This record gives sequence, structure tokens and C-alpha cells, in this order.
Amino acid sequence: MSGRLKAIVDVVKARSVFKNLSVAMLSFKLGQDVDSFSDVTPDDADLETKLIEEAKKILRTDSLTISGISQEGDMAHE
Amino acid sequence: MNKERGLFALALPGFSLAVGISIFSYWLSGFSKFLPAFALSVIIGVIAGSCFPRKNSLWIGTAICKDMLLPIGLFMYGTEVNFKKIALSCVIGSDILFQCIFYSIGTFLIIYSMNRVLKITHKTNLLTSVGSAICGISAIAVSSSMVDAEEEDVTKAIISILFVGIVSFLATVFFLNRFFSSDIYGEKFAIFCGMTFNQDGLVHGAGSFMEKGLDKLALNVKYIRTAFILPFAFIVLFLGQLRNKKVTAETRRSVIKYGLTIGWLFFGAALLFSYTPLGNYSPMIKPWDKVIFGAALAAIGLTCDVRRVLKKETFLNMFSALAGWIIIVIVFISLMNLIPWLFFVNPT
Repeated sequence: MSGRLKAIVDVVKARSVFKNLSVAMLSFKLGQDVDSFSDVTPDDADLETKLIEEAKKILRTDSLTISGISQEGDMAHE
Repeated sequence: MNKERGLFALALPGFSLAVGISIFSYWLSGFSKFLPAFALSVIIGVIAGSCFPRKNSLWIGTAICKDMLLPIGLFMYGTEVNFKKIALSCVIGSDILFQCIFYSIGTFLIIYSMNRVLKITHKTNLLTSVGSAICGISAIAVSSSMVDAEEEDVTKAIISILFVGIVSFLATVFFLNRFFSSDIYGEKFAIFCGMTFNQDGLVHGAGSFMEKGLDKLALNVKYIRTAFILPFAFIVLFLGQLRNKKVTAETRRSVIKYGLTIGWLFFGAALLFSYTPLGNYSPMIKPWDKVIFGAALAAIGLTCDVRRVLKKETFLNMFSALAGWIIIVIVFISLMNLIPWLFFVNPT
């Protein structure tokens, strides 16, 4: 399976006023360039959890709904 | 306070490098009109980014340049567009205006179609097509916001524009000018240069091969094409986003909102300073639009992965941009010989 990491990054971009800065902060916090994630980037459960946590901090929200990622998946990772 | 200092420290390497490259490019461009500051900023940015040992230290600073300096730079560039100048340009003849529309649309469609056949990435395709049709790097920069372009898309398009610019200039002044030997007053050659060159600097350069006063005619024709930047940017927005089935509705809405904001910011600046460009109010202001815009373009270059640029697609893109120019040149020269009255210019 692939594309979940990119979906999360796309949501952060869509909901940020300064999208490049938000993505750069995500990259800095995770230690890798999240902008390079594509539809073929393999899924990684641990990285996805960290990504969602950092995305919530950057977007200053308690919950993050991402299309294509089921609520059950979100709850399982939270 | 510690948090702010932390962000400042994180942003400093990327931000200062991007601004430094822009200032250096602006200085270099002062030596010759053939060295466009914006193009130099991107190219030097790509080279510097490739050599920089710890690229992750540039992320925050370059992101700030792209998010904040690009809109400011586009606003300041918009103040230089000057609709009054373009309106005066149009009085040289309505035939010339319609020809500008014809050649701009024709160039866009030819390159866009060829790139679709060559399976060039859609965003690269749109940027190259609009850059070739209108005013080169500036058109690419405005349109990059409309298509949510990646750094590699922008860099590939700029490389193609630069390549075609160099080839078109050399071909025109050393070979194509013989097709204008019957053009006694030199007006057709001036119109040709204004109609087919993709950068102002090339038109300036060709001006040294023209009769006195005709370089102004060539530049006026080029300025008319510059006026199409906004309509073409919105066409690119439509083609880039509304037809893209792969993105979510949320992403599409966000990109369209951002694209429209940038477009209207640019248009508003042009309208607001239509009578007098912002740079005319003080000589201190004039360089800053190029430096600010250049810093944003340098940031794009710094974060571009050069390995994703130097590949077959880039060369195919260059080829199609060049082929598009050649086709337009053939059409122009053919029309000039078949319908010479089409190139009548109102005496000024």
C-alpha cells in the first residue's frame, strides 16, 4: 500500500496559510524531506503516527481528518 | 522568546543564502541585458543547493522565501507592468495587437500539444508553454502558483526558456535577418523580434541590430505580450487544477484560492501603479523588486533536486520549446511574404 504519507502532507499544505513553511517544519521535526513523499511512497505506520502528531501541532488542532485514511486507522494510531 | 530565536536561527542559513544569491545575480545582470537576474537566481540556486553539504539546514529559510517573498516579489513586479505603457503600445496598430494574440496563443498550443505527445509532466508542460508564449521567466513565476508547481517543474521550464532564448537570439541576428532584406524601414524585423523573443533582454539586445527608434517598437510589441500574463495564468490555473483528477477537492480548493490571490495581487499592483511604476518614486525602491523576487526564485533553485532536472524529460522539453519557436518563425515569415500589409504600423 502507498500514498498515505503524501495524503497527510497534502492536507497540511491545504490547511496552511504558509504551506511551504508548514511542510518545512514537518520535515525538520521528522528529520526527512516530507515534500518528497509521493503516491508511490510505501506506507509506514510509525512514520505516519509521528507525521500526524506533528501535523496536529503545526495546524494547532486536536484532530486531523484525512480522506483516504479511515477513522478506524486514525483511532488505531492515536 | 526562545522559540522565536529558535525559528530565526533555523531560517537564517536558507534565507540569507537565497537573498545573497539574488543580490549577486542582480549585480551580475548589471553587466549585460543578456543576463536576466531572475534566471541567474534560479540557476545559481540550483548549483549552490547541489553543492551545499547539509541541505536540510536550508529547508526553513527557503520555505519562508517561497511563502513570503514570492507574493511580495510578484506584487512589486506587477507595479512595473504598467498598463499605461501597454495601452500606449497598442496604438501602434490593431493588426499588431491581434497578431500578438495569435502568436501567443499559437505558441502556447503548439508547445502544449507537443509536450502532451512527448508525455512531459503536465505542470512542466504548462509552465514551459506559458513562458514561451508570453514573457519567459516572469510568466513562469506567476503561473507556478497557479499549478502548484514543484521546484523541478519550475527549473525545467526555466532551463527550456533560457535555451530557446539563446538559440532564437543567435539564429535571428546571424541568420534570420536575411529574410528581412526587403524590409526597407526595418519595422517588420522589429515586430518579429518583439513577437518571437521570450525575454525583454533579448529584445534589448536585438535592438542594437536595428535602425534607431525601432528598438522601441520591438519593445512595445513585447510589452503587449506581457499584458496577456494574467489571462494566460488563469488559463493555466484551469488546465492545471480543474482538470487534475488526482488531487482531493480540499487541495484543489486551496490551490485555486492561492492562485486567484496571487493573480489578483499582481493585477491590483499593476492597476494601482499604472500611471507611475513604484520604482519611479525612489531609486532606492527600484532594485528591490528584482532582489525580492530573485530571492524567492533562488529559494526554488536551492531546494530543487538537480538529479530530477538533468534527465531525458528536460531535454525533450527543451526540444519541444525550440520546435514551437521554429514553427512560429516559419508562420511569421510566410505571412510577412504573403500578406505584407498585415504588418502596417501606425506612424508615431
